[in-house]
Amino acid sequence: MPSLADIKRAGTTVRIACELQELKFRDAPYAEFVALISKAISYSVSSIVSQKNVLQNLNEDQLTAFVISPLKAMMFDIAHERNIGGKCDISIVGYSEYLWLAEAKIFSSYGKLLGGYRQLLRRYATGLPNQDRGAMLIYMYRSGKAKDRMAKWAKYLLQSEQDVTVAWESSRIEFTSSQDHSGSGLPFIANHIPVILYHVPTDTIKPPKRIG
Amino acid sequence: MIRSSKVLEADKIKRHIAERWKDDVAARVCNSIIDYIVSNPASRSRYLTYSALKRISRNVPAESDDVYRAAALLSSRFSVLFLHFSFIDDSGKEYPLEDDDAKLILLDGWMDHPETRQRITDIAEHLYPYYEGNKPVLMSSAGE
Repeated sequence: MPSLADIKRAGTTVRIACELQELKFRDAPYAEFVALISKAISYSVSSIVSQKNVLQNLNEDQLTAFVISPLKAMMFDIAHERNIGGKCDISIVGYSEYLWLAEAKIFSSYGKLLGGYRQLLRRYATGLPNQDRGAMLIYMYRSGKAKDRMAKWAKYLLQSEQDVTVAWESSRIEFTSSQDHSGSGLPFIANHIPVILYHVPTDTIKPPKRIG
Repeated sequence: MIRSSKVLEADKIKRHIAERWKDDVAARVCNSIIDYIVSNPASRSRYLTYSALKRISRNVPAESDDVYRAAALLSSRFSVLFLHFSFIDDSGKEYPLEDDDAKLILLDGWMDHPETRQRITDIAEHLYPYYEGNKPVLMSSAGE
């Protein structure tokens, strides 16, 4: 008979599935559910970025399927395009009516990102307690530093939306926005996460000729 | 196989799992567990260890990880299985824990031995999950 420690040693996927059932067992608050999703999303994004060489030229739906797959194996009730006020890119339903939503966009312009953010906040989010967290996943194929692009996106968001605030994560590459939901008046908090897929290896370029 | 004219919660849950986790062997493990609980007296589902769950799903080519994941899904999302814990000490003696005690122990990360009162700090090494099947909810009519 395996102990709890034995099960958690089985690997990340099983460990997170096990933590998910512990949250339900303890009737843990929504914040802990969201924190576990963040951990799982980080794992999934890292996994995708490490395979970027074989993930070139995919569309948004195909990339989102790659994001979702590990979380499904962790037994999150996660869906692509579940109907929640419209077809939300990613939704996770948990115990106690917990809900977490995400919109995913391939970066092409800040205006397109703003459209996705507004869909997330104004179309899909219910604004209800325990359903007021989510994420913007930003797939970045184009050249350019993700850190600079995220800084510009945060600035654009602040200029475009009246009552939004942003706070940077310690990594300085992700940030969190908070904006009141137009229906409930409660803040909806979204993590803005870059998925860096730019892949043009330069290590095979010939070195300069030897001088002298 | 569940035969009934009315749609049972068991059918609804199985359908949801099949849709969401198609191609995942853990979904087939879930089906076997649900069928077992539904087709046996409730008394036979009161103490289901991972070994028991693996026996129940012996017709599915599942690894231990698949059984862990299936049990996690059925207890975290659907309340088909109720999770409980036993404390087993170094001599192998088992002490079933009250759920409220286990919740505190999981949060604190330690407990005192029920008899010797010795402080146990590597608690995850001594906690053993087991499950109880929730036959009433599976046999109830599904609210479609």
